[in-house]
Formats: sequence, structure tokens, C-alpha cells
Amino acid sequence: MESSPHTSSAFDQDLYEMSEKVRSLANLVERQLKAVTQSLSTLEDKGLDKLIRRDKKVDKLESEIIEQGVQVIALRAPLAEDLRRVLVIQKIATILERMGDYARNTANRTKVILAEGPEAVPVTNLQQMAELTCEMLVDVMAAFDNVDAEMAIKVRNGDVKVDKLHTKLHRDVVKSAQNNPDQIVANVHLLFIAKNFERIGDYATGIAEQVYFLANGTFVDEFRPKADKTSWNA
Amino acid sequence: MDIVRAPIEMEASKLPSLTVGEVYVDTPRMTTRNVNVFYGDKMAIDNVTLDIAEKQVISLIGPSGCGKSTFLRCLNRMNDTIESCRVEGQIKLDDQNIYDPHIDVVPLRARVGMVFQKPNPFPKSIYDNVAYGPRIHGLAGHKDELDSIVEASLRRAGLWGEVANRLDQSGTSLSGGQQQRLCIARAIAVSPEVILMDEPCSALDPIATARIEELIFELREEFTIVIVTHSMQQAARVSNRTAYFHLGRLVEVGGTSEIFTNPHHELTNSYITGRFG
Repeated sequence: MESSPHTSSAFDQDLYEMSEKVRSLANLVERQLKAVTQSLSTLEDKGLDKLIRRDKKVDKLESEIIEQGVQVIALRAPLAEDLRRVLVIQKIATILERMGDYARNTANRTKVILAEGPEAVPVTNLQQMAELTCEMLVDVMAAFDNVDAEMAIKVRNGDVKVDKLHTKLHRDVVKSAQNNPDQIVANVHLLFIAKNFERIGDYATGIAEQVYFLANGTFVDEFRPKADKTSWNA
Repeated sequence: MDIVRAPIEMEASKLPSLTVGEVYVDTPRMTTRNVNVFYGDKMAIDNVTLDIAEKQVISLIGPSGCGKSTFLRCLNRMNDTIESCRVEGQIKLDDQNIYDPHIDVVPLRARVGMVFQKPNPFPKSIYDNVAYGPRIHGLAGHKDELDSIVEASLRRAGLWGEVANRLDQSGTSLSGGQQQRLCIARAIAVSPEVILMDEPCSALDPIATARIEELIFELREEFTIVIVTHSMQQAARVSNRTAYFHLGRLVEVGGTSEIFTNPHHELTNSYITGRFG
């Protein structure tokens, strides 16, 4: 359904600002994910402390978006696609903030791994997994920009790849821990990091579901393909 | 940001050939079929078919001049008072065609009562305002019975507590919100089956509006209510179904929550999101 401008141009401005802010938040989270991925894949500290401090910006931007959404609801009483847009932006902002938390947590754990001496930790699959989740975030935000439900569903279904990598990585890390008992601390942190990226993938699917709702006004089917078998197949 | 407005003829080209949504219901109290209304040569309502469900509230919404009030006034033949007005098609209350030439409009309007935009109490006492209908329709055999009807009607309209000790005072001495509730008490005193409300809160402040809305919410347990409103929030708050009119056509009808969260027709969406009108 095509949208023409509102009679009240200030309402258009509010919605435009909210959309822009959530895009900025997504860009910031993407930057966080890329930064931590770089440190992980090179096993060198590439500004991890700066990244950890930057998470406050993520939190602040999320709060601003939620606050603006409350104001728009109170002052403009949005309905139909406008109401969906406000609610979806708020929800996406909350999801992005959680993704940001995982990036920060991963940075903290990476610091421990680096301090422990990371010689024996298997990071190859982890890098691939991190890049994949980052791609999911970029793609799902493009789907949001274009209100493209089809693209959103493609991202949602793509989470299977992340799950499969997680399962494989989980096995590799367990094996590595068995073979290098002196590196147990680094490997345990690596397991948590892998889980973080698996959750980031899940969160990207959560954004995809919001985009679907924004486009169609209905919720996507509950069934989603999953392939994370770490809990019983490690 | 540049705003480009669609000219009227472009909007007209977007009108659906058939109403979007379910115009029929399982338990209709009133049915309208292919209703056309003309004021002289001008067509005000164009081929509207719609069921009014029993003991539900249906809101009629749409931009000014879309025909929603004209349609409402057809439901108890209030348009008969306008000389140039001509109604075609069929409107039934239960199984009775209300435009049958043998129908007496006075009892019809007792069965299908009306509350207007501006509170219009008679220049009589509060008691007589409510007692007027039951008296002329012979609904009370003696004074005690009439007293009971007056009290019950004022209670149902949520006004009894405020006027019980001053029933002999003029209805016009009440506040705007109280006057409108008095008009509702007057309408329900003759036990109508359907109550038509034409923007009943447009002259009231938010508190008085909230009280009327609460009243509508309670009354729907007993009555079938059709309300015309310009307030989207009011339609969303009080009604079970919502019907969107545009340029005399019924564009879309559906469950209120569906219409306000996920309308299916572009014109409905544009109107309720404030993109024209």
C-alpha cells in the first residue's frame, strides 16, 4: 500500500526522525560487531576498550528512540501502518540494544582470551559466523528501509547457516578444550562468544519478523528453521 | 518535505467497485441493501449494502461530505423531513421494510431512536424530558409506572445520581455533558431496539466525552448502536465494527481493531492515518 504524506507534516517529520535514528543505531551496532570480529579474527586487541565504552552510545540511542516513540503515540495517536511503524521501530531498537550488549560482552571475553594466551583456540569458524550475523543485520535493515517482507523472510531463514556454524564451532571448541586442558579458560570464553553470535543471529531474525509485521500487519508463522544442535550433539 | 495532494477525481478512481470486508453479519438487527440517496440530482449515497449487527456498536467514519450522516439518517427515515431527499434500495428493521409506504414513522423512530450532535433537551423539566416519549407512546399506565421508567432511564444513562433531587428543574439548566446524557435517557426511555448517534460527543469536553463513551459501552449490552464520529479514537474505543465511507460509497467495513491496525483498502488507510480528509 503506497503512502502519501500526512496532512500534518510534523507527523511525517516525527516518523522520519524515528526511522533515521533506528538506522543510525543499526549502523552503530554493525560497527560494534565488525570491531569485535576484527579483534577475534586477528587475535589482537583492536580497540576493545573503546568498543566497550561505545556501548553507552547504543544504550542512549535506544532510550531516545523509545522516548520519541512514546511521544509520537501520545501526541499523534498513530493508527494502522503508522502505529505499526512506531511500534516496530521501538521493538527493533530494543533488539539492536541487546545485540550491542552481546558485542560488548564478546569484547570483554575476547580480552580475557587474549590475556590467557589464545594460541590453541579455534577461531576460523567463529570469524565466519560473526561475519554472517553482521551480514544478516545489514540485510534485515535494508529490508526495513524498503518495507520488504520477502527479503526479511530470506534473512530469517538464513539463520540456519549461523546455527550450523555454531554447532560445528561448539564441537571444535570442546575438542580443543579436551586437547589443551591448560587453555580451558580461553575455550570456555570462546564457547560463550559463539553462543553470543548465535543469539545475535536470532535477534536478526527477530528484526526480520518485525519487518514482516510492518509490511503486512500480521505476524509471521511461528515455525522457523533451526539447526542449533549444541545442546545434545556436542 | 513537499506534500503532493491527490485531486478529488484521483481519489474517486481509487474507490473499490465492491465494499472491502464483510458487509453481512450472522445476527443482523437492521439490513440495508443497495441503498442510494439523492438530494435533488446529487447522489449522496451510492449503492450501500450493510448489515447492522444486533447488540453491537458500529461506527460510521469518513471525511466530511462522505455520506455517513446521510446514511445514518436513512435508518430511521429522518431524511423524510428533507424535501429534496430521495432514498432508493431497501432498509429493513428485522424483517420489516422501513420505507414501506404503510409504515408510520412515529413508532419507527421510537424503535430506532436518535441522539444528535448538539444536546437538544426540550425546554421542559428533567423529568418531563424523559417522560415525554413514554407518555406519547402510551408506555406507562399510571404515574408510578412512569416514575419507574424515568428513574430507570436516567440510571441507565448514568445521570440519576446527579439529578435525582432536582427532577423538576429545566433540562436546559444541566451542563453540556449532562444534557447529552439526558438526551440518551430520553431516547432509551421508549425502549428502542436501535440507537443512532450523530457525533454525540463533538460538543463535549474530554471528561463528558469519556462518560458518554462509557455509557455507549454499557448500553451495547442491551441496544444496537450506530454512531457517526469524526474521532478515530472514539470509533476505536467504543465500536465492535467500523465502516469507512468515502464520496458516498461504503469503501470498507470490518472489525474495529482490524480497521485501525491493518485496513485493507488504500483510501481507508490514508484517511485513518491522517493523509487526507
